[in-house]
Amino acid sequence: MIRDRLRYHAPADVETACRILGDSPSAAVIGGGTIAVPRLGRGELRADDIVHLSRAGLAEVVLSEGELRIGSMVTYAGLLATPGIEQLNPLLCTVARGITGGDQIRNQGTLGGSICHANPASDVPTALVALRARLVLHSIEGEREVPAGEFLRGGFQADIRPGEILTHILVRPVDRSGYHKFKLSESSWPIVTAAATLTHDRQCHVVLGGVEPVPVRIDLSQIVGTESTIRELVAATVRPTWSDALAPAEYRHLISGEIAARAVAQLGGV
Amino acid sequence: MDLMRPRAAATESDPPRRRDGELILSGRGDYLDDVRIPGLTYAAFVRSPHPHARVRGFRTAAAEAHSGVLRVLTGREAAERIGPIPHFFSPTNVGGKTTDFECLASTEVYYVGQPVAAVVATDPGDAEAAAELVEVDYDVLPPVLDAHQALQSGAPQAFSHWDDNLVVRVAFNEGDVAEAFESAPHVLRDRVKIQRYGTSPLEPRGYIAQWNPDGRLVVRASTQMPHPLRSALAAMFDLPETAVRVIAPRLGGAFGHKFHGYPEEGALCLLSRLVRAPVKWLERREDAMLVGAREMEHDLAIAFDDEGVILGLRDSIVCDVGALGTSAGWGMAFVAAMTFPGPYRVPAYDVESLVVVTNKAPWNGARGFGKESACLALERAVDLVAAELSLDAAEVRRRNFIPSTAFPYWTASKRLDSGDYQAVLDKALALGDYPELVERRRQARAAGRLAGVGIAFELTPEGGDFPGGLARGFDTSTVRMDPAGSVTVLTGVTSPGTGNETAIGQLVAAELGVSFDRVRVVQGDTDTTPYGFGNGSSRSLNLGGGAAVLAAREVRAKLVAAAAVALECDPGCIALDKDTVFREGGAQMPISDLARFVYTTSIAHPAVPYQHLEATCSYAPEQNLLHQPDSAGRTSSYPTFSNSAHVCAVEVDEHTGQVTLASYAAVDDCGVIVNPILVRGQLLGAIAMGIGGALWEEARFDDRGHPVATSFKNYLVPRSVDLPAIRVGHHTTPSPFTLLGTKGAGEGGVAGAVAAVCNAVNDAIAPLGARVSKMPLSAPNVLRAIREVTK
Repeated sequence: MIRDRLRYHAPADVETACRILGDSPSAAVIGGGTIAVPRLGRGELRADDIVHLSRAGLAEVVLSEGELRIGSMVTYAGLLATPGIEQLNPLLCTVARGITGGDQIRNQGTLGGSICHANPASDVPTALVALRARLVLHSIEGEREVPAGEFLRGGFQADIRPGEILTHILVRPVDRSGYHKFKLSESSWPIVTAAATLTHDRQCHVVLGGVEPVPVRIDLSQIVGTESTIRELVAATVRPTWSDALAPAEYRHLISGEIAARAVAQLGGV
Repeated sequence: MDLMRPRAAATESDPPRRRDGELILSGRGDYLDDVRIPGLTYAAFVRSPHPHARVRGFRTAAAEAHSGVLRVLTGREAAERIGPIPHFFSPTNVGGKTTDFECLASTEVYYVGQPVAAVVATDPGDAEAAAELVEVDYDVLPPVLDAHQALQSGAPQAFSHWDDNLVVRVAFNEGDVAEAFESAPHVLRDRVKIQRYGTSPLEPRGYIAQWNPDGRLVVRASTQMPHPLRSALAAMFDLPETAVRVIAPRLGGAFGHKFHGYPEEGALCLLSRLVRAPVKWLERREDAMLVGAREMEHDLAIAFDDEGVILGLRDSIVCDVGALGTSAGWGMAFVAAMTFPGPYRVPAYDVESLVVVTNKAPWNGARGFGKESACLALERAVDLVAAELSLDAAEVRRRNFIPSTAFPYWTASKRLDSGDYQAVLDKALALGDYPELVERRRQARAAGRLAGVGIAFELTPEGGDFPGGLARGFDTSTVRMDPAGSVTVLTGVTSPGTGNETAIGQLVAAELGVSFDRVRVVQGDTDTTPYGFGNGSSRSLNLGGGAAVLAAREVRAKLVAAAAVALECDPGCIALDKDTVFREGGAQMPISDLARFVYTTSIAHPAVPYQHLEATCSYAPEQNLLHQPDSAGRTSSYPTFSNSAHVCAVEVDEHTGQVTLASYAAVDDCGVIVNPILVRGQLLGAIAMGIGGALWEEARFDDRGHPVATSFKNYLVPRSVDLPAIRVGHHTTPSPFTLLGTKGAGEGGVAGAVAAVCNAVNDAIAPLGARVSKMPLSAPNVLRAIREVTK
């Protein structure tokens, strides 16, 4: 049950949203609400003001100069409905299709909300780090851009300053990609996620999520070869430093090489 | 004897669909949360953040000052106004010990989440916000969080006023066990641990308590047992039972979670009295997940000969029942031991169950009720025998089954009514295509994959009768026909959402020769239904249905007598069918005309009985409720025993430990089937629940005694895509001791699923030399077992 007498705002533009944020003693920004609203109900998140970005004009995917500009209110279903998106970014499509929770979550939850929540056990952080996405943050003082790998600072910690709102995710295409996530059951958070990328200049990387508090990038360019080499390199590189209720850190570490190898295998002959 | 069988069994081929199924599926069925009452207020509870602490005092000013707050009630104050909670079934009934449990703890808390104070406000959000503002001073005491540790001398006391942590030790034995083990060619041992997990009804608990101006207490409760709850509330408030009314609305699942005995029940009634307004509280999912069950560890030994015939069995079960409480939960520890030796003929066995308290939230009943634990241990043991002797797992079971000719069959604590276990197993093996599964396993192994096949056989004692408490093996129903020929059934059994009202209506309709739509079944209101013991132990159709059939037969006799007058013939010439009264070879009249004839002409017409077309009957399967010890000192508290066989195939991912169910088939024998649609639904649901417990569900605590499982994101229940297509079939051996020949459906299936999946996973990893007997078989647990031998 929501315990606070909330003031609900759905501003028509980002400037207004930022102004409300600045004026409020405690405000919560809501994208799709699939995480924040249940947290409000459980009393884990308390706020005086709710700033809902639903009318702020952030629900568009635009392609310009080879770069995808994904509004922070674009839902998983919205992304998948974008014409040509399967060719432009198959990795994000795989992630969006596989989001747990069925149509209700995929129609409501947003990529932007997920990266801001920074749950090490979710898909979006791994994928955006793998794609070297950049995040556009807006405040009354202006705009700044942060690489996804720097935006994620720790488990459930993102580099959002007071008064800031994530407005866009900027993504450039890669040549080939693979994504594998391992979860315990259909309703489970992912335990370990792996996104493999091969860029046009033949750089091959795998990014692992759910093993450490933030996604870990491993450069495979030098050792592209047998599967066992990938497994060994991954096991030697990642450290068992993240656990949650579903799986201990040692387990995540134990399977990380295997999950990485499965993502890399999707790249085809490398 | 056939005359005693329910007439409804004849309609099996075209059973009625579940009553109100359409309403429920389309979201129009009303539940407790849909009840609208003017002036409703809302409660929230302040719960202990410590697993064990002394309560020093309360500071309530900040909470009282919060907007909308009507009242803050502390444990201290509640203790002056309300008595302790009566036990659902006290351990003292079996020679154990207990203590007083309060609605709100006044001096000592025993678990994280225990209510110590409560707030009532005009808005539910305000109530929860204000509850956070109640300050409680605690002196933290050392907790004990593990049952094995709790049994050691010098361990912290879960209850500081007890001398130790043992509630009771129960034991069941037969034969010369020492001799059996000494002379046996083979002896194997294993430890099998089943984890703490519950049942997750979609609708959690909820209550609305109100005091009418005339001083009557009316409680709407999402409970399985309205009458026993009424008895408990009357005792706590020192009221006559006539001054209390409990109404159970439609339930959205129960599974034992809604047995009574919770602290919130009395507390809400007290709060309502204090604020002079109706008070509502709905259980949150995190509260529901506090309720424990099933956590038991078996230390098991089995003695057998070269042919795989079991000669002896020993098991010591340590049951971590949490902080005991007043619900029925701890009884699962008793039933687990009592269920041995299951479907097998074991000449010598010694099984003990140690009921141990720890500083975790108490148990309540959970579908399976300890029988799943016994089944898991037994079925693991039988598989170990098969593996040791390189025998087929099905064949070892055949060699040890109690033969179908041996019934009724006594064990130390039960007289099994009937069964044909071999036929049930053979049917399941055929349904599951066992030879094909074995062949596919061979192929998978040849291709380097970990594939396994698992079999399990489950014996489920049903309809238990426990004198000394209000969990009894009888129930009562009223059947009445009104002047328009419609029929109302009032029964003391309740529906947890299974649809038993449909089957009861079907039985009564068939007895009276009226259409199903003409019969209305009323349950769950202590002002209108006979005193009954509600829902549990698959008792509803057996007992409430049995009583309804007896009552319907009395009404039928009155109808026939009246019809003989109306149609001027001998009563022997009257038939009732299709809402019509027939005279053999001639006249007929609608049943509504006959009912009206009885109501309007009795007395005036001396031959027409003037008693209402109404009867109330109680029913118990008395022939097989044997509380007086026989010459060998044996008693039996369960009258009937359903059973089922399960066959499944799995693959295990060697790299991750992930288990995938490839196929699943089960055949049950629940005796006579009244409505196959309902029975099938129950069996499928039970199997899903068993698979969930075998692979995912776990209510873990951290090492400080705080629950880790607080939502469905960290307590995983299976979704449809996690389950294989489940094939089910039936084999019927009627119970000779129940009126309807039924044995009970609803509980059966959980146990067999837990054990079959466990056996299949162990079969899959056996080529590696690995074994896993610590449940659940989640990917991390399975991989750990694999790594222990392959590292």
